[in-house]
Amino acid sequence: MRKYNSISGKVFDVFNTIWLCLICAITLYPFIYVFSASISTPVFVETNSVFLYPIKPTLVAYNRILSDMTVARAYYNTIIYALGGAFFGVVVTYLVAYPLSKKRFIWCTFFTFFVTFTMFFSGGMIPKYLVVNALGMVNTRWAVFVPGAASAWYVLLVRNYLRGIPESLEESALIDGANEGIILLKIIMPLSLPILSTIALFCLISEWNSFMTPLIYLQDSRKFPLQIILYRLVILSEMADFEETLDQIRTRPIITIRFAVIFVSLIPLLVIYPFIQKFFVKGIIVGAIKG
Amino acid sequence: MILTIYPPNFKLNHICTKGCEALKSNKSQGLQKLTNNGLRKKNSFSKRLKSNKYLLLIFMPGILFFIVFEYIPMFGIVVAFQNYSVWRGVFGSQWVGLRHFIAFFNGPHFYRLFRNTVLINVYSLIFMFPMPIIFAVCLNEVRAFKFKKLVQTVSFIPRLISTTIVVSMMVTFMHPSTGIVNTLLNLIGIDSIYFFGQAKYFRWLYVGSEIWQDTGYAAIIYLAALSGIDSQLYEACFIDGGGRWKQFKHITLPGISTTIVLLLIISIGKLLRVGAEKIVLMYNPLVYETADVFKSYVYRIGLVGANFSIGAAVDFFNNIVGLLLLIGANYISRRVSQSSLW
Repeated sequence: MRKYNSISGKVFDVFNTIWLCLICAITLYPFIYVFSASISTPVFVETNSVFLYPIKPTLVAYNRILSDMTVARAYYNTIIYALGGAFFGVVVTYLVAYPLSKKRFIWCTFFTFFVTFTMFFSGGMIPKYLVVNALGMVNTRWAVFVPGAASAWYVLLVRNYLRGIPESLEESALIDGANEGIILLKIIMPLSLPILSTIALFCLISEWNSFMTPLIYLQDSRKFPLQIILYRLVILSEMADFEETLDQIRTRPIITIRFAVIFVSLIPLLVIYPFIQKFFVKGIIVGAIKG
Repeated sequence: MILTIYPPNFKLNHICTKGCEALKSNKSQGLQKLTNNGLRKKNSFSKRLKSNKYLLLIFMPGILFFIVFEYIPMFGIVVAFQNYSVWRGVFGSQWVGLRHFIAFFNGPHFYRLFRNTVLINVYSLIFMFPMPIIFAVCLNEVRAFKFKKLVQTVSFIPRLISTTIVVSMMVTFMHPSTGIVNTLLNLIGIDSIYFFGQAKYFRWLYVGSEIWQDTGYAAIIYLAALSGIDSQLYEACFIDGGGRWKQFKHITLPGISTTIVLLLIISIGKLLRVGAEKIVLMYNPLVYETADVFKSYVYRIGLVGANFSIGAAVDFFNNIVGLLLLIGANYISRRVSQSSLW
């Protein structure tokens, strides 16, 4: 890499490093603060004494969360939705992408357009709700992850990947007397595991974070995922106490519970991040440049 | 720059020898299937159908999802032209043509929704769009590889967490009495501000959260483009006496200009698209004046308020205009920079 020995070059390097460090700090600070605030004794958070490190650590907020079924049940729901979303997402995507990747597939161009068009235009929130309603899925767990399984973006990603597999493999197998089924199961499928696990991961995370879909389709509070609980527990209640007097604030429930709920929601993602970082960067580059 | 992922370790050698033997004998069924289909001049429809039988069998269940959850709702747009009632259903409801559309365009909400949608995207374009570019260019100038990797890793974290968590954090941090933002403002001598309660702050909060969450993620594309610039160009410029700034102006910028233009045009094509999720998370009745956009209006009035026809009409308008803008932007991009979505 180029080396700059001039003074202005060195100055730039120093400033660059400083400002990039600042960006890292700004990125990380909210997480640190949320953790510290969730562990501190509530009184210090209310009097705005907590900035970076916890004061008089206590687990009272976490005890409260665990003793109440709401958060635990929401966690359980979210896991179900995430796994269901990953399963349906991968299966539907593969079922559509595999035939589309074969050039000999009948009406290939038409079907590709058929799928791609859904990326640019959709029927809208209301018609989709009416369809889900007609299927009797409203207010059931299925509505959360089944309608979203059809994603043209992932189909294109998998299709392009499958096109990268040399045709000679398939031809040789055909010569050896294999039929379509064997080709798919024994040859192509094992080779597609990398892309399928990438898609599964993307679906898992996007379903974990999904907010709008459960908001629209679920009314039974026992089926709410983590994001909805977060919305109700933290956002709605924060917005409600804009006009409170100081007395009312002092007598309301423990403030650190909000921080604890936020922290509990983001911990799983932070924990798996180091393991999945490779997937993300590769998947996004392939998707973005080819898409 | 095209990247493909090649599956590792094809066992090509083993399969090929077997295949070559078969080719010699030319009697195996599989090869006949292949050559038959290839040599056949009248590739009749039923024959093609037969050879694709299994592929279609695999394809059907998958495409069913698309048909049921994407295309049937498109037909459901017809409720926008009716006085849809749940009891009468789609076929029993009264047809009213364009009445809902006209009422909406002439109504009190249209201008507000239109203005908010466009302005949020304009703010985003002015303040958010340059950020990933600046970040990527600065990061690219770093020579210490470990530091570069570290910064990139950290910058990516906000993208992982959900919008709900980001807004929860924002709402908590900006609370008028217990939020740390206001604590810091008080230290400087500024009175506490009810950020989420005043309409004038909404767009800043929206774009600010976008900057915090998406900069690292959006920078990836630019970093990929930057790494594609030939380093010899930099050497040549350096030899010609060009310093850092000259190198940036004449090599770096042109190198990523295609990417920038393409992404810029996509952003402009999305001028009327603002998603419901973040708005619904961030708004409350106090700030509808600047926060309400088409999709949030559809959710609130159309879905929750069960005014299905009106909601469908507004949503359809938003989607159609969004599609037209995207087509237009793509066309312009193709003319101007020879790069486009399709």
